[in-house]
Amino acid sequence: MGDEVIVCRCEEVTAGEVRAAIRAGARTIAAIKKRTRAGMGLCGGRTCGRLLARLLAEETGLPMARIAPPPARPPVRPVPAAALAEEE
Amino acid sequence: MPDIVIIGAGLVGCATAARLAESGFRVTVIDQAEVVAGASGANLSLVLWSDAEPGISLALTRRAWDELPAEIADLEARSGLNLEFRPIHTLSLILEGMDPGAILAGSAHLAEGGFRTELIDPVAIHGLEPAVDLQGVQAAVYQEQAAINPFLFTLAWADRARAAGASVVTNTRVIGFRLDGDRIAGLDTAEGPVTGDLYLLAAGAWTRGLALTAGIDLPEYHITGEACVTEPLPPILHGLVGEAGDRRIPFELEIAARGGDGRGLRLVEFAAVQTLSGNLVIGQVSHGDPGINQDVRPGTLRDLAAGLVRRLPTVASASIIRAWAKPVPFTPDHQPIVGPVRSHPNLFIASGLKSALIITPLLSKLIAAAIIDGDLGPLRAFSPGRFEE
Repeated sequence: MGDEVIVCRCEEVTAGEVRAAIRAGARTIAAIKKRTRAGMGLCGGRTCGRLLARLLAEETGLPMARIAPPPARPPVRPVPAAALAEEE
Repeated sequence: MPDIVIIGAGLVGCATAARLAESGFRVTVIDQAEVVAGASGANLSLVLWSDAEPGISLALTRRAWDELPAEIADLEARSGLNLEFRPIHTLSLILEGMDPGAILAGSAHLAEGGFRTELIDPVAIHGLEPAVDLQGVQAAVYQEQAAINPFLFTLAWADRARAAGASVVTNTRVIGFRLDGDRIAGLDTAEGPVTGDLYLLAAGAWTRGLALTAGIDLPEYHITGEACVTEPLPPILHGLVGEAGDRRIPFELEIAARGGDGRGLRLVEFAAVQTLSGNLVIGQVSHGDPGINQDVRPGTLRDLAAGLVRRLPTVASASIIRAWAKPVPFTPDHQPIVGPVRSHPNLFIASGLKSALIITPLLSKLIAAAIIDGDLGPLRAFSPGRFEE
């Protein structure tokens, strides 16, 4: 994957930015998110999560199975505030 | 030169690591998760002087505030990161039934410290924040404070520490201290032992539990704070808007009075601020958990969303995309615990800060000076031993 490829569409984060975060010490998807915002957009990382894991595996040499998914952050999908406010 | 092991890669741990590494010490920072995984990053991104007294003193707050722009410019130049530091106003909405005079009187000391704090009326509030619904609002406390990206702020210190030769070891859980008489001999971690000459415990809400493994019982407790963010929105808020209340300190004191076990205690305080990315950050629901809890509870999103709908009705259809729960430490006297531990000569503690984002650049300098010269200076007020006296 070239450095210019956009891996997180919501936040427009490129593979090069993710690689730079890994070079700066990121060892988990959660750490990549904090530096680059990848996975912090509307889709909640649903699209880019696997790509971030793959880049981590490639850059660090860790097997894919050792790369933990980021902590789950509710809600599961975006919910309008007005709908949430009316919940019992 | 002694080797220094710092437990906790939050703002205090990373900033102090940078200061010490730049003074030539060999520094290792160790954290159970990533850099800025705890309370340093789970907040409304505010750089507040308004927590001074009962938080840290006005004199230290003033110095930290005055030094901050130069510290941030230096950090940005070294890291190449834009820390999104910007002045913003903060408005605490005073609801009907509250006494604005008493609320302002409670802030009189801030004005004496040279911090502008004044009451403004609903017309003036509307002029500053036209999107805010002012139903039931009689006035607001207006203050000129600041905001910053707390993730990048902490990461910039971690980068600076690494650039000066420090080692930042993440995803490695510290299990506890290993003692040799009254000295700390090492750390047991999930990846094996780690040893140094001097240990700095800066682990936020995890500090108390780790100190207990060395037989030290600190009166430091925590709340679990929950908050959420919306999808990115066009600019709607210029500063922080919150509903004023005086419930936080009694809430914390009640947890402290119960020895840290505030099970069942819950506090909802509405506040919102917009990040430079456009997301509205909405806080906060607090709980008095005795242990560490990082799961968002049922009812939290409802209460946070209700605040947004009540005060910013034009964006009621905005989606909430993410919520989190993080333990945030506090102490019974609202002062941090910073200093060497009398019973354990090679252990230094730095935890329990109320407004870490404003004070840490200065605090990390003072901690480094205390470790290098043994001169505690203004840190004397934060001594871990003060609770025994």
